[in-house]
Amino acid sequence: MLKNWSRRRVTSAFHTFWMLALVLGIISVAAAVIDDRSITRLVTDFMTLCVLVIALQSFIGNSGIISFGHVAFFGIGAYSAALLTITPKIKAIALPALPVYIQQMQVSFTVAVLMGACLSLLVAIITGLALSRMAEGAMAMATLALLVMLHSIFANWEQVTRGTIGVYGIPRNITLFNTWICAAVVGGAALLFKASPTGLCLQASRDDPLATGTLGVSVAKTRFAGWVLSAILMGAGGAMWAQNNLAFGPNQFYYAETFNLLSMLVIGGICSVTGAIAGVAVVTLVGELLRGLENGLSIGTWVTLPELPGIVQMSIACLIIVVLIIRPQGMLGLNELSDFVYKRRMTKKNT
Amino acid sequence: MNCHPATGLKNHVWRRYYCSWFLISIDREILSEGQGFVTSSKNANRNQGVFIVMTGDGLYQKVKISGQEKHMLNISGLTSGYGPVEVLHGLSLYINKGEIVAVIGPNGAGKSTLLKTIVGLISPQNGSILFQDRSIERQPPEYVLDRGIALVPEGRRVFAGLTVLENLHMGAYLERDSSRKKKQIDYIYDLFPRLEERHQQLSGTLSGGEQQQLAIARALMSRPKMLLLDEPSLGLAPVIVEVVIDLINSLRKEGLTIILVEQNIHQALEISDRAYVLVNGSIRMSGSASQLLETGVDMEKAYLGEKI
Amino acid sequence: MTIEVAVQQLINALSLGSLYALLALGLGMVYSVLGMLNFAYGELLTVCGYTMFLLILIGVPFPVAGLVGLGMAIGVSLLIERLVFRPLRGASFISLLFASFAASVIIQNLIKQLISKRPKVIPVPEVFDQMINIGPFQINVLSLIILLVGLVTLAGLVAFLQKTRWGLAIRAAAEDFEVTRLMGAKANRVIALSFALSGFVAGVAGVLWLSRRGAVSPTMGFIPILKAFIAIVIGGLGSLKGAVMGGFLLAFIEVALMVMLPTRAVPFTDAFALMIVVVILYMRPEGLISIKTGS
Repeated sequence: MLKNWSRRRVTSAFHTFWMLALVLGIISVAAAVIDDRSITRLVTDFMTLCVLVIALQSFIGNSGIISFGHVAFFGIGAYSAALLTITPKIKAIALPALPVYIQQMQVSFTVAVLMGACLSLLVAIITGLALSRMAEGAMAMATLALLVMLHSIFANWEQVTRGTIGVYGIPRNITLFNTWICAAVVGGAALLFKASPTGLCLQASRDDPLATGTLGVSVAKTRFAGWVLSAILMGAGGAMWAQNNLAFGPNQFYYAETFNLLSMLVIGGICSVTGAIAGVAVVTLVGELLRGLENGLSIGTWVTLPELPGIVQMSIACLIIVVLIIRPQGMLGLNELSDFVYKRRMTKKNT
Repeated sequence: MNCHPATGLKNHVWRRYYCSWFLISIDREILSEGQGFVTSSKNANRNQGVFIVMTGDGLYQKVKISGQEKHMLNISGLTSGYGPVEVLHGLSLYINKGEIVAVIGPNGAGKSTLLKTIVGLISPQNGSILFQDRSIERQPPEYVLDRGIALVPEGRRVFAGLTVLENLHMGAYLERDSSRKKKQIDYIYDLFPRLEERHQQLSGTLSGGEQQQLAIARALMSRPKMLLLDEPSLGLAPVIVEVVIDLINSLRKEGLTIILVEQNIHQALEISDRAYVLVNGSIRMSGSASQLLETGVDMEKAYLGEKI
Repeated sequence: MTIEVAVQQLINALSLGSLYALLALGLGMVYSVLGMLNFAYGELLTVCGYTMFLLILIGVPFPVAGLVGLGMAIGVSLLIERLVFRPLRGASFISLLFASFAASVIIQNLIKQLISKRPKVIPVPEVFDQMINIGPFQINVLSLIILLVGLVTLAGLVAFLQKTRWGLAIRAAAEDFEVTRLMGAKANRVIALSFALSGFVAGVAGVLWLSRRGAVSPTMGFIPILKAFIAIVIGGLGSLKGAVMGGFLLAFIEVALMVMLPTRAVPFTDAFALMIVVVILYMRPEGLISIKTGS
């Protein structure tokens, strides 16, 4: 197994990290300056989605195995944040069956995010032990099974999740600053993992699992590592998301959300962290542009276009097919942000 | 723009033919002869008709071609590979009717790519492949097979989950006449009695040698005029290799033209008439098999990649 | 448990099993030929269902509506192949999966826009709900119909695959697509055929599924594709025999759990069933029938 860190990869990961953090920082600062409620909301949504899609990228991108199950970790993070941050008063009414110590607990944003990550880690370890030994196709199916299993738990464990009614009353702890910190930290973790020896072994197993196995790398172990790491990030993202959305039900962690997150990843580029962020940006932008159409846009006072439910999702689906045909690896392909800067420098040196 | 620059003839579709040998004569005077591309109208008789030839200085002349196509398969300037990766760099070779021609070379030289390009599994980037005067490059496999070229792929690749008989039926996929199919199967059983014994067995359960026999039999089911064999001795015990070689010899006696791709130089050269040495996607040496056998030392150099 | 109940549950399991086996075979057919999972497969059932819904609405009798729905499923299956998968020929497994995922979302949303977002009831013939007595056993007519139609369709497909030239080509392509092309089978034709068969199976399964459910909704394709996916993975990805076996096994697990679990745990039946499936896969990562081509 690879033991040593590659200096070149770590440096380039670091460069990408600060550039991405800077770009996200500028967006946050701009939103803070404009100080408009809907724009602030848009930016916190964007950052939360970035965290979730980067988390997804760190497993799918490195291992090349499609996972439908990550939205389950997203749900775990969201529910644990909800249970920990809802005020005791509301909990006493909405969730009377909870144990007393949880009912009386109320924690800060950071603690909630960390606890979301921890709980998700726990589930990831249990599931990962079984999953990581499976063949690729079986593993993809097992992740889908995980999604369905956890969904049926979310929807039926009424003492804790209130079943299909969903939970409400989560305080809005999220700020532009703390979402930016979360997005930067998660992005950094994903970049570092991608450059780490384990991450490289995982990428090798993506390209050729058999050959990687013959090099003495335990494919199962590296897959396990990737699975656990991305679950931690996903749990943290879920906790953030809960404190941004304030009320939710189990159906928000199912097929539609899986498609939503996966589509952002595919459009941006599975193998790239920068791609994950770019994908979120593009899909958010398309969504914002077309949302008017979905509810029936009025032009002037006389003309009102009919409501077109699902036009956003449909356009995104079409976008995926077009991107896959034109650029099978997604918009950014295998490149990170630093690659563009370095390439330019290299060509300058050469000429 | 169907008007031809040299002749002013209109409404003709112009085609380029690669001629292994042509004669340019105007008013009974022979101008030149040689090998190269000939442009002609679609309806011209290729052996005797009037041709328009682009000569070296870029001028077109109205010419008469005489002589006959000598080669069964003629490849020229073939560039091919996978996606952006170029494996074969403009190679040319020819095969005459009834010959066994060996293509030998080290691992990764492009031998299998050459065969796959001939049968149409890979579309070449450049160059031409003529089989019995018809251009077959950029044609799908079913077309090439219908013209009479069958490939026995590397590593046998029999359909493991299908029975021996079903494999043979697959081999005659293009044959719709069931009585002809039946006749061909009887012929195959004469040639390979072993396969008749096991015709209901799943072919994945056959031994390596039997699978190789089945792979060849399957290719013969389409009644090919030319058979391409990709490493038939791969992974077989020496005794079984002998059986396969005997088989190849008997197929030659039946008039089949064979291209034999091998890594095992000596065995390949012993049964073939001529051979090409393929290294790094281009022909390094060629000649009669006996000639190449004598220059064994140079061949080793070619294998090791030294420049000769 | 009395013997009567046991027999009834057995019939239930067999009838559900034949339905799952059909679903799995349709999905597995395309997987084994192209090596891709067609996520839009569930939407073929949806299309079939909505066609039937619209036809029944204007007064067409149930069986005729079923046949037209079947035809639509085949047509849409071929259409998806032509518009989405053919331009992506040779793309990676993940790309194809995402593309099919996208195709499925497009169809769902088209239905949402053109017909309705809400579930709609399909009036099912009353015969389906009745019970008939066979000897001492009372058996639901619908289960029996599903069992019969399922088995007949399976038998028909097996006969097609075993006895015809095209069936042979499909089976050969499932083993080794490249060599099948070498034998003179046209790639596009074999692939289109597998999509047509897959659409046919989805259509038959769709009619049966609807008869059980009695309602259509835009996202109704998710559960069938999930079951089919699980069944082909248990059976061993790429094996047609395995797909059928996986379908029956899954149905038996589900019915057994339904019978044995206490009432309070019934909402978690799916979760338990999936857990058992994951345990099976943990012990046999390649599925029940593992595919090994050549040597």
